[in-house]
Amino acid sequence: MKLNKCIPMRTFFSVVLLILFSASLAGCWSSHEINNLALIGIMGIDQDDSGQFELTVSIVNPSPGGSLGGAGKMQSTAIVETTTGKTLFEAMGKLSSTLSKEIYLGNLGVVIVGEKAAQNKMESILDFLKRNTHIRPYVQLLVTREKVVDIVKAEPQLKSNLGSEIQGIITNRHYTHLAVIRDLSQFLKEFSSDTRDSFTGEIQLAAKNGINIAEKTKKMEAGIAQKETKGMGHNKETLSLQGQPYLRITNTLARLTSKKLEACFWEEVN
Amino acid sequence: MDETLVNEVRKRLSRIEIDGILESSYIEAMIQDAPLSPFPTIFNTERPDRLCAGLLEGKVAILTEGTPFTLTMPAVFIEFLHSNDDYYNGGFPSSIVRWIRGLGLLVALILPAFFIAILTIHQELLQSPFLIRISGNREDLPYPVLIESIFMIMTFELLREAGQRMPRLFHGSVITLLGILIIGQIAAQSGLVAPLTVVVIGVASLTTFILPNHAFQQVIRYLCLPMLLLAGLFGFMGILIGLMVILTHLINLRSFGIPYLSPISPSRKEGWKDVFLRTPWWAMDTRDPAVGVSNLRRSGDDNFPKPPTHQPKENQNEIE
Repeated sequence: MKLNKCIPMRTFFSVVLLILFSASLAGCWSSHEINNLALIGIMGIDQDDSGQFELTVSIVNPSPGGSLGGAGKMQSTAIVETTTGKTLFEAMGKLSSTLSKEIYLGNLGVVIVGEKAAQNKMESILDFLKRNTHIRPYVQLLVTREKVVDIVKAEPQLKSNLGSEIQGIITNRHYTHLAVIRDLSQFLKEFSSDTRDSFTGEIQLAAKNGINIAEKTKKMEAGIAQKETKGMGHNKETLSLQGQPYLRITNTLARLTSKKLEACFWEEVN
Repeated sequence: MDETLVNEVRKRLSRIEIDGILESSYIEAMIQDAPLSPFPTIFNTERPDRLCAGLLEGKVAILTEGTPFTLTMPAVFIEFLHSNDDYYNGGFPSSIVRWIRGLGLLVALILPAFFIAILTIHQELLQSPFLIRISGNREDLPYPVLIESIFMIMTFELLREAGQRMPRLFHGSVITLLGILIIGQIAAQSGLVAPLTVVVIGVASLTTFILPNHAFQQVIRYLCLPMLLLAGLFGFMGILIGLMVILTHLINLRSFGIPYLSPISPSRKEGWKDVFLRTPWWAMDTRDPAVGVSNLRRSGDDNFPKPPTHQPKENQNEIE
């Protein structure tokens, strides 16, 4: 029996059309090798003195074969880069020109916005974040009164990268009822509302919040336990959430009083 | 037994013109409904109990001189996922094993494809720590993950085939497994492939052994490769298209006029007792209705075991 009689032409064309249509939806052009991606865990946006955007990102630099040593904490370092531009796209373009890998924002966990940028440039920032298809809608949005670069340069304490560290702090703040953190989609919803004001939490360096953090490591050498204390006496640059969140009232930032904060919680609960 | 089925088998057998038949697969190839389909539509077994079970279901069997393999027909898809041990163990463990086997089918077919799709196109689905870990492992590797996976699959297939041809003295299957492990580890250590690729391809390759029928196992093993290419080129969309094509093909297939996916599609509730669950024997009172037997009842109505209704007589001697 001939092959063309065994496979009806209609079936053949259906399969060809199916493959062609699927090719137009996704394809090799969408594929990116994972080791060619510059994974950005945290992004900071601020405004410099000349009124330009100042973009600071922390790019995870995973060590080759980092997990071959077995289970446990992955040893990865981070590179912090800062660029400026009239628009965030321009700043991003400058950033891209310095990197040998493709910028990947799919795993961006936190966006920190400086106080000045939050007051003057919030619409442009949200526009940039919303337009990028890789950025997840539930990326956490925080404001800081300190230098954004200092926040992005802070070291994670218990997690392998700063983005995960801040997300962990936000998720596990059981003993504090003060900080109200909004993710991008929630903030956007409130920002575009005519009747509601948008607000989110503030983050600052732990030292500024009166928290002393020191790292203690123990090395075992030739059966004798030696204690080594690193950084004792001065704070590691780690982060903590500030209790009072910022409220946006027609392009100005104001700190919530405890009464207003209670009102926010009441609104959330109900 | 359905007379029309027997007559159809006779008709197809009488059509064969060949100088010699050395094995039952010769007959199988010349009487099946869809000769171009990779899926077997005739069940072959060398176990007498499996053959008898087929006959009790109302199927037709062909015994060929000079070979231990017999053919039973019609065959349905779900039959290739069932093992004869299912019927000899209790209903509860057998049902769980059937679910595990179903999972094994999915793992063997789409796990490597899923892995490729996530690593090349859908990285956003991975959690950040996992993504960083994988990225660290893949740093400075020479080949893309798709090429790497194809390379690993080809290595496993070469070793498996070599193990099968190896004299019994050398314990071929043991050497195959050890070879897979050792070569995989050395390839990962020498920086040719990522350790996770070895794990995923190794798990998928070994999982194919969970499928009881050899012919069916081979089909799933080889279908893994086109799925892998589709995933590498189109991501999850490719996997979905691949699964849709396979499912459409399976729905179209017939085995001696019986739909290949019966009793799932078309659905017959009597047949569901022996599909995903293996109901206890007292509940399996009907045969598979898809086969078209005239006598659908397999057993009596009252096979459910009950405790005795009367009190056993007390031992008079002990009382005295």
